Amino acid sequence: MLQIKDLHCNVDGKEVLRGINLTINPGEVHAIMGPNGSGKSTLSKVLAGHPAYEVTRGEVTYEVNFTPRDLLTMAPDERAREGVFLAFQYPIEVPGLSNMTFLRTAFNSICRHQGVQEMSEDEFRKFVEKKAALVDLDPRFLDRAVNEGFSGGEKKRNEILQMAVLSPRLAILDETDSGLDIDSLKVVASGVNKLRSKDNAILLITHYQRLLDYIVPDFVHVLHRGRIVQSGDKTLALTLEERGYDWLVKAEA
Amino acid sequence: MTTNLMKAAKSRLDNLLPKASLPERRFRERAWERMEKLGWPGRKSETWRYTTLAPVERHGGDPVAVVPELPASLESRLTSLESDFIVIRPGAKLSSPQFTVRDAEFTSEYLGEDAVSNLSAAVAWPGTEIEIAAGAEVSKPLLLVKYQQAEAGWRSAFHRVVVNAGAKVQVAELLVGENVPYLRTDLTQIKVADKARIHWLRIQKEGLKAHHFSETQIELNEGSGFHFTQWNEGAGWVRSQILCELRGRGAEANVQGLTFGSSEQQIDQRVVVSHHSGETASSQLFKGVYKDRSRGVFNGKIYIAQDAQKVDSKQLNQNLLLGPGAEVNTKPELEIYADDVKANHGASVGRLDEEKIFYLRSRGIPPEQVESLLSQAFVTDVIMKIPDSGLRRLLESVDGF
Repeated sequence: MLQIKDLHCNVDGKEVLRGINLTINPGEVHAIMGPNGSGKSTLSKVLAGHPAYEVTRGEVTYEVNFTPRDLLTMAPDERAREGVFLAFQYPIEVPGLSNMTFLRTAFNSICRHQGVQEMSEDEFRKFVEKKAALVDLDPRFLDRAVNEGFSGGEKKRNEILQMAVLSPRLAILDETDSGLDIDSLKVVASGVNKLRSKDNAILLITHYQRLLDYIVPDFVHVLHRGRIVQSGDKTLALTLEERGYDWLVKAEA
Repeated sequence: MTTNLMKAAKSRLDNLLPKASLPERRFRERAWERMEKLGWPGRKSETWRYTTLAPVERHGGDPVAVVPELPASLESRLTSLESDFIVIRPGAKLSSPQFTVRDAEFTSEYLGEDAVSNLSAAVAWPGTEIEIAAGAEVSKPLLLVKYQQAEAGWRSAFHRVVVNAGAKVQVAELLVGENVPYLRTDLTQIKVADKARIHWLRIQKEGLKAHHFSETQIELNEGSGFHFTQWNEGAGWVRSQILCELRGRGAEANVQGLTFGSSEQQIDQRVVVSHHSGETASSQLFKGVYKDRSRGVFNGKIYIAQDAQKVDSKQLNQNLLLGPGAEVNTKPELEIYADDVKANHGASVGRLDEEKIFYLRSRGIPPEQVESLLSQAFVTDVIMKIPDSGLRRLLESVDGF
């Protein structure tokens, strides 16, 4: 579904990704771990198409209707309409725009693109309320401005709600666990787990092993200074938890 | 001064004066004298610094003295609004125990702020006069329809609104017309008596070829309230002057603006809120969104007289530039002679936040729609501050006018 080859990327003129290689197949859950500043969030922004991130080398192919396409030439909204979703580490507040209008506009953009019948306002509200229950978000949040005045946990739940509504094929969760208490973490994780299927893939970006107790990955990769230095199964995360990142860093050096 | 406009005005005045009643004659002559005394504003005039009068000065000819016929599309729109509004069509005369609508008479005094409004007053047509009876509460909002036809060329009108003591009324005003290069000069005088309240929503959606000049003077007496929202979206050349005088203790004025500039539009708004009495409050909130090569001007002034103590006043002007060629000049002005008062003001001119754009696009929303959603989000608070749901609802379907 997604193939990243020798990806290099600059942020503010500094090379942050220095040759990433990664293949993700439908149905798989991959976790990317790594110390602060290793390039985890940069990778997620590049995949979602943030304009400030400049790819200097390498390629990313993304399969659309069984045909590989160059993801990097697609606009961010086009990527989203083709099923790429990024749950933001720091969700953006948009005062004056209601969550409901935001969700409905996004949903309709995707429906139109996929040639699916759009829902009426009433139908859509019912549909969203069900999804909100999935992440234990009070329906009242739907009529509030996007993320405005939301707590950290509410913002993260709102991201997962958007994911549930838009049902992406490739979901990238950027530090969705950061700043969450254990109860919120469980709710968010169970929301994510309900969206797992043999056709979809998930890329989890996290600093801590804790999230992986609740969303169990098929593969774990360690990112260090812009490169994947180690890959393994879920036990790698446990090793990292025990031994930290130092042993890998030293091995690389 | 030998512009077409001046020549046309002089010949109109010469035709009007012999037929005028004594008060009308006085109204016109005073305005004309004042115009001559103030002198026609040029680029050096402080209040006309950013806007040229050249497009207006080209207008001339004789006015057509007919009540305009509304196009079928507008007529059907108005019919559908009749369940929620009392629709006042051009030339309408209505009478009920609560209110009266008739042609405005030139019995009151009106002096414009500058030469342009005085010239307009001197040759004004009788517009609509609305009077609300003392203590009356008009149950439905009034919808005042002002339509201008191509043949009118330059048409000037004087309107008058009197809200008698303790009365309450909501008014929506709709300014529309054929999309041709006509000039509308529109003057409105609003008197709000003790403890009366008026909520006003003005929707200006003239064709982009039209030129629009308006001056609105409001007098607020003891304990009275005025909530005014001006939606400026139409006309290629716009100058609006709002002059609000708080003359009685406890009076409160809220003046808001929503401006949407596009193509080559030039939209100049001047607001002067004058506190002549103590314990009065005012707020100005103007937001503008400018696309393409449109230009906006906001000049908001707070004046507080020497013996007007304990005044609470504020002013905020925020602008969003969407087009690379869009431009805004914003100029707050404070003239304060009292010492125990509050006067806050702020202004900003900015562009859409890149992170917000990316967030919305990352959810599949195309860039044009992102721009429109974020522009709407930018002005939402102004709309939400309109105290009447009926007036707010009219804005939800504003695209239909």
